[in-house]
Amino acid sequence: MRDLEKTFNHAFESFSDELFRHASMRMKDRDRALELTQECFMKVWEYAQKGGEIRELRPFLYRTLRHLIIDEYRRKKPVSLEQMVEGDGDERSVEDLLPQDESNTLEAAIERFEGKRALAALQELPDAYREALSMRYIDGLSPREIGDIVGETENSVSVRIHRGLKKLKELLEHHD
Amino acid sequence: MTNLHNIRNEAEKIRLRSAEKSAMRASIFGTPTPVVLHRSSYVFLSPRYLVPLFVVLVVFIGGGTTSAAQGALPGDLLYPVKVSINEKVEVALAPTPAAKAEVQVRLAERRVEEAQKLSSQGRLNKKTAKILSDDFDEHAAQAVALAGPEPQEQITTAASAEPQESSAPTQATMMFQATIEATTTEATTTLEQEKPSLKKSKDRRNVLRESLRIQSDILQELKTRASETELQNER
Repeated sequence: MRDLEKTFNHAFESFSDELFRHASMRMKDRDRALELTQECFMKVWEYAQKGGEIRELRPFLYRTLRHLIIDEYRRKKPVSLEQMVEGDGDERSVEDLLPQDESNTLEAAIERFEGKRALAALQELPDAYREALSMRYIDGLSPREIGDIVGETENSVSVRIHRGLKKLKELLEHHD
Repeated sequence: MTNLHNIRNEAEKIRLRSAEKSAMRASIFGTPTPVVLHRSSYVFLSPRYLVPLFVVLVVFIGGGTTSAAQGALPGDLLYPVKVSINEKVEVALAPTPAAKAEVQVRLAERRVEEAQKLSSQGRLNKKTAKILSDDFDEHAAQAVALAGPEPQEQITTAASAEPQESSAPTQATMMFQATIEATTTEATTTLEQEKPSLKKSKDRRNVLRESLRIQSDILQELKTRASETELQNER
């Protein structure tokens, strides 16, 4: 029992900031992000206390947070669910054929912009891209880890990241 | 490997404030686990009981020390006493949340005064300036929390009304805005209960806003001055 609490306490220390950051990227409203972060930890802690099995805490926390965020979207504006999956599904195979290093070119292009502006632009993207890009570039997760969290293949995650980068770049250059 | 350092570095600034973190920790772990099999007979030695006991002792016996601590500045021997005992007691003694919020605002202002005093004595360095402004943020956050939720638009309008500084506008400035809003919402709610003229509350609001903005400028200036002198000394 004590051990469990210790582990969890440690997890809270290590991951609370990054989960809050992730929630902030998705929620905009700081207070709501705070509440979701707290709820996420509480849920996982409750689950762990009941003897639920958790193999790796960090992805588990992200997964829980993700469900909470989805619930939140669902409650607020049912339309946005469609926006969340906007654009994916079709022409996926074409994207797959793109040379891998195009992502690097896009990254370099975005890197030239000032951080504050780039972050603001990222927050304007549709949520599906926002999710993928913030997990990749802010939370530092690999496409495979992201795939595990969102329940999709590594491949489709990479495609989404790539498209998100493209949109982000357009958004930034458009504002110029 | 992760790229997009620009975004990542900017996002790093999104953090939980320490007050928020500890509040969160309390609500996650705070609910005591129902299974308490055995309670040590030295339970009164645990920090949970010792801290309030100590505070009470200090208040009754160490009145001299604490009042001597009242004028202490960062770096002084008694400064920790002032911050972690006197001020905690002050907050604890405030009867209502509104009164507590008021105390928090006052404590935030006190940090600015301290920065001013230190600076005039040439003792304000970068580190102390940071500690003071962090502490300021914390009190301001507490005040906001105590004053209850506030309308979102007000903050944004206030923030955009503030001239953007070339250096990072800093959390401190943002928090100043929040404090102003908190105090003003608080003022308006109490005023609304008494049904007074709207004009009066608006005046009060503007006065508060103005005075806190001035304070914010002062703290910012002191902070930059401190880091400048430190840079010169290094050379």
